[in-house]
Amino acid sequence: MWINYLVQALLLASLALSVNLLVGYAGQVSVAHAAFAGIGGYTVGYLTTARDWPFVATLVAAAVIAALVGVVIGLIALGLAEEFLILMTLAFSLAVIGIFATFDALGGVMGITNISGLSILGLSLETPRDWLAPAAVTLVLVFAVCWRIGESPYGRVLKGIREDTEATRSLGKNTFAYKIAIFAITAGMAGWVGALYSGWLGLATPTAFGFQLAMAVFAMVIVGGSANLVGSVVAAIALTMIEPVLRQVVGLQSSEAALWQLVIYGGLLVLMMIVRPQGLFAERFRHVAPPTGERVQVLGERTAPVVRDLDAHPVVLKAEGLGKRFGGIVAAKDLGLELRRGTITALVGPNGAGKTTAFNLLTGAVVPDSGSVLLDGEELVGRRPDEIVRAGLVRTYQDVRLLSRLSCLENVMLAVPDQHGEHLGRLFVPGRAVSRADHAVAEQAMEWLGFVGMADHAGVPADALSYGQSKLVSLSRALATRAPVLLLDEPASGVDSTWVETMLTMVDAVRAEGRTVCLVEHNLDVVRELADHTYFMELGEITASGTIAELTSSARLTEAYFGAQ
Amino acid sequence: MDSLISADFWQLTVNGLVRGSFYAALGAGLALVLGVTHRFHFAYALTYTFAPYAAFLAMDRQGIPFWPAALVGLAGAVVLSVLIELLVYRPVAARAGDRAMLAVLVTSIGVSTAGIAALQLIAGSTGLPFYGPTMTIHEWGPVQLSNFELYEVLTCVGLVVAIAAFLAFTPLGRQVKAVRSNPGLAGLLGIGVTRVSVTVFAIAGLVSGACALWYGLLYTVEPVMGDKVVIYGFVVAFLAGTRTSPLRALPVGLGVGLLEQWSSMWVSVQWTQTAVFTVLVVYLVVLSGRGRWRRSVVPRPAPRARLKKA
Repeated sequence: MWINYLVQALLLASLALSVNLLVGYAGQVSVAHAAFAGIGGYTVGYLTTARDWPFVATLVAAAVIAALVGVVIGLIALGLAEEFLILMTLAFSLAVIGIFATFDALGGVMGITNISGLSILGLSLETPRDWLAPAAVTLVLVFAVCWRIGESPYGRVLKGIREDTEATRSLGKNTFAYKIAIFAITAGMAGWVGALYSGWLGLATPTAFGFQLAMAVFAMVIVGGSANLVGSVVAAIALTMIEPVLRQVVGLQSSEAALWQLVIYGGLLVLMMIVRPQGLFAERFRHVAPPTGERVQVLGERTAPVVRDLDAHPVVLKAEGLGKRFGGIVAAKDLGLELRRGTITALVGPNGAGKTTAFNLLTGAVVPDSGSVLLDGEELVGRRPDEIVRAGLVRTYQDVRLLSRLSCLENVMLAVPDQHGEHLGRLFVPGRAVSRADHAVAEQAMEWLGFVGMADHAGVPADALSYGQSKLVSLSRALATRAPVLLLDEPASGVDSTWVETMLTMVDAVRAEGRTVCLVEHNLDVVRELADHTYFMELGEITASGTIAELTSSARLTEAYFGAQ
Repeated sequence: MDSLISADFWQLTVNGLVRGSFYAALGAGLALVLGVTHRFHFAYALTYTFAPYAAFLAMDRQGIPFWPAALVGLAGAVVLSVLIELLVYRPVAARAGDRAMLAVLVTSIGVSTAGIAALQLIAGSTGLPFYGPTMTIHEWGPVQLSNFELYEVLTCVGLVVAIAAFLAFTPLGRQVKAVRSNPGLAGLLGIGVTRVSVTVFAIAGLVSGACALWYGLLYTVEPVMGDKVVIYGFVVAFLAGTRTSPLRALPVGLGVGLLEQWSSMWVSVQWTQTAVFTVLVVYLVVLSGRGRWRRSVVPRPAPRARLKKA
């Protein structure tokens, strides 16, 4: 009996691992894993009983079919808000089981109950002991795949998607591809495990893959710890053993023990969520050695503002005729601006003038109705936000949007482009190329953190930073993308005067690096100190441009900005 | 032959309207919970199942007559619903912070499954003999309708209209609407957010209990009776909109009911459920394509207050 429970524990642990990768790492709230396992289970049930396929072939078929369905679910999930994703996966779970119960070939509501005589590579799978090896091998394989993906640069992007998909996208990551891939991979693994589970049970029935299974696996993931794979395995084994303990030690009947087990699962889930929501084993943070040697002081004293001769600087980014309407509201009208290499351009104007919308239009976060944006002569309109970042235009956000459950270093590492370990295929090539490359990425990220003076905080989770510090990390994150053009949305707002001075120094240093900066800023002192050129926006239009001194000397603009005086 | 088809059609239409009003009431109750508290209240399935179980146990073990027992079941569903909010969702959401939706969903599935398992431990895993007043069948031309079905429709439509009236005309109802549109501001204005969420969970408990009691009389009372129902409730709630008038659940619920019944003319009966989900998937695909619902449904957390220097 104990061996049977051990097999069950190994299989459920594998399922829990795949769920943890999807829910814990990538933050995709899906309850469909039991249904994906069901697809696997029914595939095996049908192909081995009605079609006489060899068991191994059906395992592969199960994984492939489940993965394909996963792609479809992932595709639909792309544009859905969290609650619609939950709704869809709930409905999908019920629909899959409903569809299985519809086909007579699949046993109708009774399911397929005569799966037997299976063998793998000539080894027959009759006794529980025979199943131990395939279940253990599956657990090891699934663990290896989940670990390799989750604890790699690829997994870092997944965590970024979990924390803030849009912010991750605006660091140049193709979040669409990641989401679809992770749905496919985890669905494929669930299909494989479900297939094995059905083979071991000898049946594939609607109830075997219902919400009870979904809940049991959730309980394992939550109790073990979200985004902690070891936790999932430990919890899966511990929780599965509740039932045999109830039977052997307390002396309950089998059916009664199964019900008590569900009650205990539910109780544990609630208790855990209230007492220790991170689970028994908390998410791992990248260990960061404190910076060695003396602190690198990149920044010198800031010199007095110099107004550059604009004509000496070539135009890097040129926007023309950008327009955007939201229903009846004109958010941007015939917007045109030029950014020149190695200069700082400011965008000023009253609240609601459309400055942030202008950034959204330039970076592709909002697709303009008309107009063009040329970066070094290359059209940006119509490209995805992540492509635009990779083409060389990056932005920061007014409300910062650091990825709060990642460390500062991981936040900046995420931004480094073209990472070796972000390609799924390369993760599974033997050798140390991925980890070597990741060390290099960490070094780069450390340099950028050092550039803004935050190297000491590399290992600190982003949500533990002060507001001013988080603005600095967000700047270093934008710098780490190596994009030559930076759009900074209110870099000096909401921080006290010491921090304003720090930000001024930083932005000045970014310009000194040869990069091009465009900033939205309300603090005109900042604009006066930094900007080589200033655009004035009102009601979605640029109505004036020049140096800030020229603009502030205009009585009309002063009134438009500050109100009647 | 022709008249046979049309006879079927009318019967299916009536069945669809009966089913539809049932879905509408369930959807309206869930939509209220979703819109006001943002809780993915899967344990709606538990309060639904709990009502007929409690009523049955009151009859079977205490010898209470049917109608008082039904009231016990109804009250039990209301109390259970409120307790789930106060003792489970609220502390879980408080601990989970910005990931409250996932945390509440997972605990909700846990509470629901565990609760239904507990009911089975108490009352057995098989269906219950749930009998009350006698059923009479009325015939109008080709259409048959039982008195239970009629009462069920009246109950369900009555509940939806009552919720709408409650929201529109009572001070507490207006407070519920205020919390629904902006919980933070409503809290600042002195509206007791706890009182409001207790109210919506009580309403949800009442709706689920009332629907389940009629369903139990019409069909069967069994442990899995809530699974499909709660998903249909979610479908109706989302299609109707979670932050609009509950009256919108009526046409949506009726539409789902009719679709389910009518589709059985063209596909086998088992596929009717699939027809409903197909509609849902089409809707979600369209939604996904537009991808602009994130902000309109769950407002992003407000940006940190900015302390601008003068």
